Amino acid sequence: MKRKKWDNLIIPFIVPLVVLILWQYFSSIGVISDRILPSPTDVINKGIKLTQTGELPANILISLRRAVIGFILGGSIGFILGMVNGMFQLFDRVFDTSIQMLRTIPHLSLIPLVILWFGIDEAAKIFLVTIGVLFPIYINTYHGVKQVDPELIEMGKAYGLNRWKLFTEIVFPGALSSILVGVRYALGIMWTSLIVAETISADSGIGYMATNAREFMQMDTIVLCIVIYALLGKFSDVIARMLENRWQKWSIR
Amino acid sequence: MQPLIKVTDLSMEYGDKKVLENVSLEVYPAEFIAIIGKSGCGKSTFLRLLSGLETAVAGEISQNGQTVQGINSQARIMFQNDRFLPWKKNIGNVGIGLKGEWRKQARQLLKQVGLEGYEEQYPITLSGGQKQRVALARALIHQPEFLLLDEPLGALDALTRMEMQQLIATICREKQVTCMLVTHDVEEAVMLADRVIVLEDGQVKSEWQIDLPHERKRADSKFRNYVEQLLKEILV
Ligand SMILES: Nc1ncnc2c1ncn2[C@@H]1O[C@H](COP(=O)(O)OP(=O)(O)OP(=O)(O)O)[C@@H](O)[C@H]1O
Ligand SMILES: [Mg+2]
Repeated sequence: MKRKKWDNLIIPFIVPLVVLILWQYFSSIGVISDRILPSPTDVINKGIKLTQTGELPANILISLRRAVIGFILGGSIGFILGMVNGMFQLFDRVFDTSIQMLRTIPHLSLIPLVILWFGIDEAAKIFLVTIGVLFPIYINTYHGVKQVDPELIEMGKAYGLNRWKLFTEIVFPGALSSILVGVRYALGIMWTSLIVAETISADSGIGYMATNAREFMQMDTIVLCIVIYALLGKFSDVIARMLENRWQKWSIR
Repeated sequence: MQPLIKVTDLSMEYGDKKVLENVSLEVYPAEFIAIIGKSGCGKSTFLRLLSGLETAVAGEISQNGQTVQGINSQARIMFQNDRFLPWKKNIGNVGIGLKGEWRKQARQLLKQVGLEGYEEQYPITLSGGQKQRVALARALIHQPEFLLLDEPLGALDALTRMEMQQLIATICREKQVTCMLVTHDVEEAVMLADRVIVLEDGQVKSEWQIDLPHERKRADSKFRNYVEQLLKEILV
C-alpha cells in the first residue's frame, strides 16, 4: 500500500527528469546552441541571480497581486450575477441573454480598447483578468444553481428553512461542484490574460520581464519567466484541487 | 374529543384539472390514518396541502382549531424518495433546520431507528431501507404533532418494507404522533391504520374503521377480510 503511494509520486516525474537531463547534456556538448535554448543550469543560475537582486521576487509579487485582485473582482461579480440570475426568474429574464451575448466576445480582443482606456496602468491588467475570469465563474455558478434538485429545495421549505438557510444549506452547496469547475477553468484564463496583458503593455511583472529580456536577447531570463508562469499555474491548480477535495468529500464513497 | 386536524371542503386544481373536490376529514390525536386510492387520484396533493407546500383553491385546513397558512410547522412530511442533502452527514441531515443543541437528540433518534454508529457517514453509503430510517428520524426530530407519510416505503423490497412498517408503528404509537400514510399497498394500510380513507377522483369515497388489535397478523382471517373488501372498493 505504502509502496504504491511512493510509486505514484515518483512515476509521473520520470519523463520530465529524463528530458531535463538530456537537455542539460545536449546543451553542455553544444548540440543545442545557447542562442536557441539555454541549458537548465543557466536558467537556474539566472533565477538565483535575479532572486538575489530582488528583481524576480518583486515581479512575481506584482504579477501575483494583479492575478489575485483580478480574480477576486471577476470571481465575485461572476458569482453574484450567477447566483442572482440562477435563483430569481426576473433577473434571469432581464440579464442572462445580455450576459450570454457579451460572453461571445473574446476578452483578449479588448486589449487595444483597454490600452486606450487605461494606458499601461495597473487597471489595464486587472481589468483584463477580471473580464476573463468573470464569465466562466458566471456560467458555472448559473448552471450550478439551475441544476440544484427542486425536490431538495421543497424538502428544505417543508422542514422550515428560511430563505437564507435555503441558500446556505441547499442552493450554494448544491451548486458548489459546478462553481469549482468554473474556478479551475477561470484560474487558467487568469494566467493567460495576465501573460498577454503584461507582455503587451506593462513596466513590471513576469510578462514584462520576458518581453524586456527579449530586447536584450537574454534567453535564460525568457525561459525562466516561462518556467515561473508554469509553476504559478500549477500552484493555483493544486489549490483549486485541494478546495475541491475538501468540499466534495461526500461524493466519495 | 377535539380533532387535531379538521379539513373542510378542501378543493384543489391545477389549471383546469380538478385534483381534489370538497374533501372533508377529521383526524383525532394519535390516530393513524391511511389513504389509499388509484394512482393520480390526488393522494400526494392532499398531503402537500396538509404540509402547506401547496395552497388550496377552496376550503380550509385547521390544526388545533387554527387555520393552517403557509408551511405547517407542526407537521412534517416524509417523501417517497429520501431527499437527503448528499453533502451532509447522516446526523446533519437529521438535524436540518434545527438550531442549538440538536445533536444529542439526533443521535438518540438515529439509535431509535436502529442506525447507531452511522452518524458520521454520508447518506450515499446507506441502503434504501436505511435511508428511509434516517428520513424517519429527520421527520421525528421536530417532534411534529402530525406526521405525513407519502408512500415512504414504496421503493423498498417486501422484507425491508415489513420491518419498516413495524418500526413506524412502534415509534408513532410510543410518541403518540398523529399519522397520515399514503400507500398503494392495501395490506400496509390495514396493518398500520386505525382508519382507512379510500380516495377516488379527488373525492373521499369511503372510510373504514379497522377494528383489529395491534400487533396485527397478516394471516388472520379478519385481516384478510379487510384487505379483500378494500381492494374491491378501490377497483370497482
Ligand atoms: N404540479 C402539478 N401540476 C399539474 N398537475 C399536477 C401537479 N401535481 C399533480 N398534478 C396532477 O394531479 C393529479 C393528482 O396527483 P397526485 O400526485 O396527487 O396523485 P397521487 O394520488 O399521489 O398518485 P400516485 O399514487 O401515482 O402518487 C394527477 O393527475 C397529476 O397529474
Ligand atoms: Mg403520489
